[in-house]
Amino acid sequence: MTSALPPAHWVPALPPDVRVRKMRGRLLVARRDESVQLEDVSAAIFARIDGTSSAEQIGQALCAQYEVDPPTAVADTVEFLGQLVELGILDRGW
Amino acid sequence: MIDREATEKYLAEQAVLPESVLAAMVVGSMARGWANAYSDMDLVAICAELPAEVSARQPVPLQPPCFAVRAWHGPDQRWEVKYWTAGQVEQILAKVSWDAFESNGSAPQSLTEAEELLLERSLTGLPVVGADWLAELRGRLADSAFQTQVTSRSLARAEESVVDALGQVEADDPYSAVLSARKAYGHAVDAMLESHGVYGSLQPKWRARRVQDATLTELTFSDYWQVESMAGYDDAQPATWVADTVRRTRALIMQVEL
Repeated sequence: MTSALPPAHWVPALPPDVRVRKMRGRLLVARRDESVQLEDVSAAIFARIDGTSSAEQIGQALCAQYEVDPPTAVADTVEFLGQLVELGILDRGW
Repeated sequence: MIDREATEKYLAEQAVLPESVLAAMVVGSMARGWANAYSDMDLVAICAELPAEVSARQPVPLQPPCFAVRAWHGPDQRWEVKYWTAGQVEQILAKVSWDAFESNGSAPQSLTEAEELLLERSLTGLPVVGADWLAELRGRLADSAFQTQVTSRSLARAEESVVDALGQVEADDPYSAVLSARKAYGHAVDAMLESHGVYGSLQPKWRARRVQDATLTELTFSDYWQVESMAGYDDAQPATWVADTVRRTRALIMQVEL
């Protein structure tokens, strides 16, 4: 049985077939038949998915930018990454 | 530096501009200031009708169904004038209208290479005759879907090459993956340049020049050149270079504003 939420140490990577367009400051992310529009914090998290940074590292990197404490930032990042997996934008890798 | 009056005088002496000429401009490397000792002097002339005496006619899917070329060797270099009619320019502009973009998708499929070069060069050419006519054309191009079309095309090409690169790494084909990753990055750079109104992706030999001239906040020349020249490539670990180049490509793609 796997958890719905990824662990904080998970290192997410963008699958090869993910498409991204920036329009009016927002990121439109699509994969297969799914697409999602990302703004502000969610776009900033997505932009940091590089296949080398863990969910925890991504969350911590956003602390200063959005003035949130590290545990909250990491929890929000983990939750958002879980949503991307549910949508099929990311592959479950844990 | 192009001497506009001297160029106009020389063209008159050569009798290469027909009476029906509406505009003529120096284009290409001479106009951009990138010429070398072996560069041609390339010009584009927009006329009401195509001239009768020319060196060649090149087919295009327009009416009339060709543009004309006249080439000769001048005292210092080879000269070439490409002649298009104003009617052909109107037909090309229709291909990059917002209506065409919305019905055709992101790629300017119906635009041939020669037509795209004409539009791109109209934006950077140095007017010799008909500066007002060219200024109006530039205004209409700025209002068209041309920029969105070519930028979208480069983004799509970058993503296709990313898929190739990652698939090739997975298939244990690292050298093909290196070529695909390098190609992907080049397309992403082109997309970034095009989103800033710096065109020319049909001529990758000038990409470094375009990046230098554009002075982008999103991409410094040294960062660009590090990838283009494969400065960090280690032949013992090609997949590492591929992964890093794909990461840089995607980071660029995410910053290209459509």
